[in-house]
Amino acid sequence: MHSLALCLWLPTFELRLELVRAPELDGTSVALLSPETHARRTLWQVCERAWHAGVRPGQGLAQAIALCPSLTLLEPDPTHYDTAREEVLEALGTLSPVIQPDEERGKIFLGMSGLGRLHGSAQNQIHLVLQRLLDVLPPALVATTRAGMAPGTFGAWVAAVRARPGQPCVVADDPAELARFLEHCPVTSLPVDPATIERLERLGLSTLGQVARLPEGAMVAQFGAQGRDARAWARGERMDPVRPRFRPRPIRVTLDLPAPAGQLMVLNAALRRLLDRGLASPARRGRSIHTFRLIAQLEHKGSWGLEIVLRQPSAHAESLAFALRSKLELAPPPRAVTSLTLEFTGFAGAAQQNDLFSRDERSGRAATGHQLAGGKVPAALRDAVRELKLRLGHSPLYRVVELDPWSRIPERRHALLNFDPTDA
Amino acid sequence: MSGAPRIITLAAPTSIDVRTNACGTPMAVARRRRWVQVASQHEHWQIDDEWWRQPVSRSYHVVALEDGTLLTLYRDRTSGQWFLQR
Repeated sequence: MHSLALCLWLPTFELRLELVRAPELDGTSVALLSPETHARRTLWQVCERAWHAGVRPGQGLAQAIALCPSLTLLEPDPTHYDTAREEVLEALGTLSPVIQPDEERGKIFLGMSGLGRLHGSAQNQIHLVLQRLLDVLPPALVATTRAGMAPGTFGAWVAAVRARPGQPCVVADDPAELARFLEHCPVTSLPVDPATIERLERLGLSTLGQVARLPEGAMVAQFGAQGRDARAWARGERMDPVRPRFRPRPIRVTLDLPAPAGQLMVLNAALRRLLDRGLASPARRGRSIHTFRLIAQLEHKGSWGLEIVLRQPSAHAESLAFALRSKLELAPPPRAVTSLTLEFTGFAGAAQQNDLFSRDERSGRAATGHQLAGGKVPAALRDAVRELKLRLGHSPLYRVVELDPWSRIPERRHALLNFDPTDA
Repeated sequence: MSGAPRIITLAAPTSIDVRTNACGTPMAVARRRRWVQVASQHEHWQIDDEWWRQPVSRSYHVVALEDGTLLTLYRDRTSGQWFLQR
């Protein structure tokens, strides 16, 4: 069974969203600044007019303004872009159950296998998808969307690049047809690292057809595993299916600051309150946090955000706050913040082990020294033992006790003593 | 029902088969039903203790096997049996 994919591509999606918000800038030279605020600011996306003036993404500001003095620079608003993309994904989810968003916000894959009987021909399916986009995006933005349908995500992406706005490119769900379509496409469409592309070009290989005709051994000898993949893509043999996104419902808490604040101390206090509220949410109960993000609305328009993936999932406010504080100190918001939103987006199982010896708890081991042996134990540990006893019939916990620590005979020094705090 | 507290000894010795040379130095150790050669000897000491009740007399050897495992062995000098301490 082939995995028919549809790729929707909205080039410079973020810049176009900005132009929808500020239509007076349409037709002028506009560029969007890169979202990284801690590094030297560079250009992220540029409009066609600025492009013709020699302005390119990645350029420094001084160089760009020297090339195009009338250039208008826009601050990025990641929250706005994420919200727009979420709306697009929600809307498309009503047509196909399999949706794979790409890292690039303007690129989305839809699994179309089996939808022919529901929505008709390929052209009809694409028409329906674009119609659905009109529900959430302005017509000017939908009009620039490129759509490509082919077996596998690579084929669909190449088809979308080849397509023109309003004229979708469709490749039949047939490997031979896909190979014929890919033959004249440039090697730059291969999803391999730029160094590999450059080497392919220097070897005189400019089309996928030329790559496809090379023996596998030669490609592997020159480029390793990437060479094998590149050849398989070029021959239409590798057809990656659209992978549905896993998206647990996020927990979101927002705090509006009484006055715009830029001081880290104020932000940290606000974060602590947000964390407490987020962790207390009933939807969070029984789960620890793996991934979360902080979004700030900035004074004078714009937003800022950072995402944190914890090495070890945690449900402790202090652990989460520490990770947030560390990142905030490295890359603070560029301007004063008017409101903060905390979103828990990735979850793991309950992190009970860490809770057993909670330092926050009054009866905890750290708070009261060596009271584990004295009978007073953390409530979380007592509960855990009670549960284990219900399952096993006895407490499977032991503690190490000293017998004769200075004995020359090793087995006389320490022993394990059965530990059951629920007996008391 | 709780019953009497259970105590498990840590580092309790277990019986092990050892091949020695004429001097009584371990040369091979039986591990999972096969003999593994001793690659090197690291330490050797002797303890004599508790002579006032049941005498304990052991000759300890720390050896490295060919497969890289480090073992602490002793020979009970009263019974002549070999044990693995850890």
